[in-house]
Amino acid sequence: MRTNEQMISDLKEIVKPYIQNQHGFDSLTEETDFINDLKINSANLVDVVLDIEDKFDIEIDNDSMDKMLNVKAALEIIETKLSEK
Amino acid sequence: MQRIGNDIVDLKVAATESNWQRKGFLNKIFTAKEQEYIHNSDNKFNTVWRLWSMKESAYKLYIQQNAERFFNPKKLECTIFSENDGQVIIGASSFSTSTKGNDSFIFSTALVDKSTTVISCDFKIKRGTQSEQTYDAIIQYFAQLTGSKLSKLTIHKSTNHIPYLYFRNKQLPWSISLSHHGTFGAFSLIKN
Repeated sequence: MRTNEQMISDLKEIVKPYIQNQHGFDSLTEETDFINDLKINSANLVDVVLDIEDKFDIEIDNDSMDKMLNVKAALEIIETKLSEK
Repeated sequence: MQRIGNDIVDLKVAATESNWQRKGFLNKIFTAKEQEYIHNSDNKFNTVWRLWSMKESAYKLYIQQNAERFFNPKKLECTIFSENDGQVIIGASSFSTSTKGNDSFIFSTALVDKSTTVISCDFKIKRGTQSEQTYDAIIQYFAQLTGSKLSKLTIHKSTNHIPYLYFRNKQLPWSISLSHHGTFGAFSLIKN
């Protein structure tokens, strides 16, 4: 079982290549918005989703992806999908 | 109130930032019908980004009407009518899109009523301060168009990140949309 800190750190590793706002990345919290705070372009948000699927070996359906605009929502979806495994 | 959404894609930058051939990529973004457009296209890369810009422009218009943001590209479905004209359906909403472009960029605008008069402009920008340059471009254009004093014009974003033009801190009855990507910027405006 991963702790919340580990999950955030895994997620930070995943989003790192796509961020366009270093300050937002350095001060990342659960409230951080991928698009507004990290300036990840929306096409790269697709890569973030695919990278999460690869890293955690889960499948994120479109309805789950729908809410995936910030760190908190992403963590919740990962946890839900992991618990369903 | 008539509203507008737009989106510009720098094709050189898109080619380096995204790998559309990555496993799972197309399937996360495009419906079966849209994937058909791509597979049947002579220039798959361009078709991917044309459809993407259509979706983005329609999404930017849609969230002005329905405050809730979402990330679900397949909730939007494109129909291509011609090289320039298209349509995007989101739930019960339908938007007309107009797309132009060349080897360097693709630029789409979305409207509810396609007979609306739109002013759109695309331009080259330097990387680093793209949003500032896009703001400056629309403000300078608008000052000239309306004879308004440049120093009194500003742009503020609503809590939902939708930009509006202001003159002497008063919101103007125009709908605008701003976009930038890589070395291209664009703005669109309609008068209400």
